[in-house]
Amino acid sequence: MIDLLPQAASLIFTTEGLLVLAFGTMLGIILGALPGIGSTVAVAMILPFTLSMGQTPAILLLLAVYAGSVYGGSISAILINTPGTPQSAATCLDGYPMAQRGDAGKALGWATIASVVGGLVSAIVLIFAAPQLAAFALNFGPIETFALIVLGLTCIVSVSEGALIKGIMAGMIGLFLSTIGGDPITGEARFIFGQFQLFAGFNLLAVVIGVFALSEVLTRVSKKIEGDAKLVSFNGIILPKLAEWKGRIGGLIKSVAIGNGIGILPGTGAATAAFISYAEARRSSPNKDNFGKGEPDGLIASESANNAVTGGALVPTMALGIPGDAITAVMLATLTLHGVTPGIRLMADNPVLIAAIFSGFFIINLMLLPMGMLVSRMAAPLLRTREAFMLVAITLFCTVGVYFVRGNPFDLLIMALAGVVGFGLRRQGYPMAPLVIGMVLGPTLELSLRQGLIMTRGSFTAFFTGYPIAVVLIVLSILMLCLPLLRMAKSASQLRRNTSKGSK
Amino acid sequence: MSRILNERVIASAILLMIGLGLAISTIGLEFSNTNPAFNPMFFPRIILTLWVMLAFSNVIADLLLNEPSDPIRLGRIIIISLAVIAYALYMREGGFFLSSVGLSLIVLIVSGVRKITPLVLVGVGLPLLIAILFNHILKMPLPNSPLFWWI
Repeated sequence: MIDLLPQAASLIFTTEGLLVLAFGTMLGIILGALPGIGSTVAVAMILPFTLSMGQTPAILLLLAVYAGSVYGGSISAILINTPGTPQSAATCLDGYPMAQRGDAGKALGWATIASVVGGLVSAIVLIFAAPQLAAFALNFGPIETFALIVLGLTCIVSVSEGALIKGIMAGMIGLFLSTIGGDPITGEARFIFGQFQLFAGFNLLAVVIGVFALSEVLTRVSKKIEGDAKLVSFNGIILPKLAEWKGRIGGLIKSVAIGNGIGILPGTGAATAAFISYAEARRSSPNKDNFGKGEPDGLIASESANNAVTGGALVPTMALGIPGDAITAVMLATLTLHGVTPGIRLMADNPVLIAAIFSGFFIINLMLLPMGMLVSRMAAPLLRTREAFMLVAITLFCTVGVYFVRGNPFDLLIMALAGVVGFGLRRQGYPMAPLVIGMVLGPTLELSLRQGLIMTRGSFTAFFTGYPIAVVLIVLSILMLCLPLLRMAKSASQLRRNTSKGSK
Repeated sequence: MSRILNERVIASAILLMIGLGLAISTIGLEFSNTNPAFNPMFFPRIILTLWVMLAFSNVIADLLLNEPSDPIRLGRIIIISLAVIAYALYMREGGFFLSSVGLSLIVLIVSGVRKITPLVLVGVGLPLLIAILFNHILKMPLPNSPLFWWI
């Protein structure tokens, strides 16, 4: 990877490349700051602009919006006590109290530095870990790939916390949707019910944008619109002095490590990382009594961890083609549109492009500091934007994005129907991330399973003899599936103990 | 009866019916090769079997839990849902600008925006801006209508 950096630099350090990085980071911060948009919708909204670009700038723009939006969420969390993205929910806990006592600039200063450090370390992890993982996975045949995808699918369990059966059900819907269209081996049409346009299958992005962006619009319309958010006074970011970092570096390092570790695990996500990191900081910080009252240690923990997730989450996405959550699933789908198919062959087939993408991701995280300082003052008044205006903008930009993918109005209909159905499912407690993950992984799962069966002459049990890597991956999958059940059993026994103590 | 048949139970039951229907549609489609790898319905059948099992357990769980759903502004949702579907269907004939103005105005009015300035600025201005941006600046043509071909 390091030896490719000069060639990668020639792709990034062009006028277009640098403009894209700066503009994308700026736009990502603004979109992330607007409550309700979130990273997934932000990337979906920016998609149409990338379609007229070259491969490298287009991918850099998407990554810049992704990283920028995760940081941008902290602006609204601190200034109006409403996280712009779910990842920033933990930031509200100490960010807003700090802002209320007149230190909004300082709170954003801590959040900015923590985000930059978290993002930079995660970019380094991405640069070094993804090629190793991809090189290892190059030895995989169909049976190992099948086992790997099964492991990837177990992340559905983690993204369905609190609604396990409904989450798995949503995953099944996604897997089924991926089977609609021509059979990958025999070419026969399946489940198209006379609609020839379905022969090529559903346009993944139309479904993704429908179930995330459009259903979000419907969800917001269905709720009572709250009054205007109260914005605390804010005159720009004030960076913390070096002396103020004394005693906080250890916490920062720990939070970054938690974020990276959780990011690499499929399905856990930045919001979980931020809360785990916050809880750990609260447990171990010398200032633990001040947590929840505007303690910088709390801000550092949540913001460094959620930004550290970004690079970590891209490791399995880029190296194995396994998205860990909704945003990486959208990233994966959009990368495919630009001729980059994340997965086992990616690094071997496009080494220079990948070096450019990874080093570009490092630069994006560096840019968070100047862009954050510049944009936060501009973004603050935008937080007062009326929700209805944002809903219109989301709908129109997402429509344009879906239309440009294939230029087919049928995709717009799919998006609209996915939005309505997605709204209905979300309302009944079905999480949408498993549906998207199922739809993304479905084709590879089916193909590798059937190729494996061809190799073993139709014997599924042969998958577990003579393929040690596959066996290890399947055992890991079973463990991943059992973990939440064990957790549920543990909390049930804890509850029983507490109840029996209470009755004594 | 209404206590048992709440919104969640009905939704789970609909999913169960869809799964069952799809699973039944695969029955009778037999393929000559004995290796399941060559059977196009092999993988979908596995998925649909799991679908039906999970949907059934969801129905049972929803019946037992009997959780009420959050209140909903049904009128708003029906209007916006129909508007979005009509928008997708009409765009080919009506073009991006005209159909987007229609949808934007519906979303704004349903969301409670009544003042004429924001209605015009966002409801008409934003679709116009997007159409000009993509048609003339980025040179990525959006669907056009005979009325507004010049935008």
